[in-house]
Amino acid sequence: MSAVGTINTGLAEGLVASDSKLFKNALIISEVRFLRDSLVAILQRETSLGVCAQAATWEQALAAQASQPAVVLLDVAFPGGAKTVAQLRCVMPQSSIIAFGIHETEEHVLAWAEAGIAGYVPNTASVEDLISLVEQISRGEQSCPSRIAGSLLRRIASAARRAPFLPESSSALTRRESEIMRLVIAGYSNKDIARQLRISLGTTKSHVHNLLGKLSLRRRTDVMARMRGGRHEGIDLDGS
Amino acid sequence: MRELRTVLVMVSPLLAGLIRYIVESRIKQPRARLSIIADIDDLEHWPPDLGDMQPDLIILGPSGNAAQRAAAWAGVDTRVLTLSANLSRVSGPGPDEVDPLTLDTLTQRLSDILQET
Repeated sequence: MSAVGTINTGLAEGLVASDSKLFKNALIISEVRFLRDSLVAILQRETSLGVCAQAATWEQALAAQASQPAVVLLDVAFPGGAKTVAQLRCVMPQSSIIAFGIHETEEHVLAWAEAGIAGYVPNTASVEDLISLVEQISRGEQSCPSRIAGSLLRRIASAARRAPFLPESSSALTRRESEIMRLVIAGYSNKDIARQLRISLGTTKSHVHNLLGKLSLRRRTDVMARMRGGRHEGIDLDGS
Repeated sequence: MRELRTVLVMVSPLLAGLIRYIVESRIKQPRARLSIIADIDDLEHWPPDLGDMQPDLIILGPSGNAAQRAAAWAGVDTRVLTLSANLSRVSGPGPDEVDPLTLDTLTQRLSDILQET
């Protein structure tokens, strides 16, 4: 790994309990059982990371949100790719997401960074690199080649010239609307949302309608598109 | 120190580290170690002296579609393990030995190979 610089990623300081206890718990997401089991064993042995769960599917990852993982280690080969990060951030907003196995080119790192990862482990990393990077990222740092750091700075400068990704009216969302917005972005249908929150389908539709109005958006997937920077995907408003 | 002289073909550094971890932490043999004598990550440029190395083990990684070539220069006593493209299965060393790739199955495979070599 050709790490020549360190970026402070501004990761939530609350994640670091002490030097000897990095995280409360973690979730490992990968379709590959061998990777999940091996990483659980190694991280628990080498980093005092308390791995609370592992998931092979999106459904299993959603089920693991109840354990409130502080850190999510996401295999970049997991179906959905970087889109999964945006979905995870919505259903597990308290978690910091580390993508492992990233092809360390500017294009790939920027795409995953924009999706919302807290840090990444490149596909050229050894086990020792992975352990070191997980610990670094837990401190809000990220070692990366200078060309990647330069690209990130240029992208931030470019983003600063654009409008914020959500309008101010989003702050006017009620707690329930915010909750539903996260589930909408995670790809839940109205039926799924109603089942998850134990409310009626009609109430769910009403909440979705209201939150889209407050955000000045027409379709439910516009919310996710806005979150990702303005790319729109056509899915109808009635996700039931 | 019991060393398993190993050649890796198209195996990522992370995967190699995980395999090494299994040998050094899970196999119930004292001081067993995975000794990597060659690491091939370019199928177009194989080291010319591979045939002389006579490794105990060759591990073909998920993108290492080179089983025939590996078999061509593997010694009589060299075992070959092949990891499937999606890392779900491990094949070898026998022609009919195919199992799900898990910590337990790989540990057993490597343990058996260590005992036989």
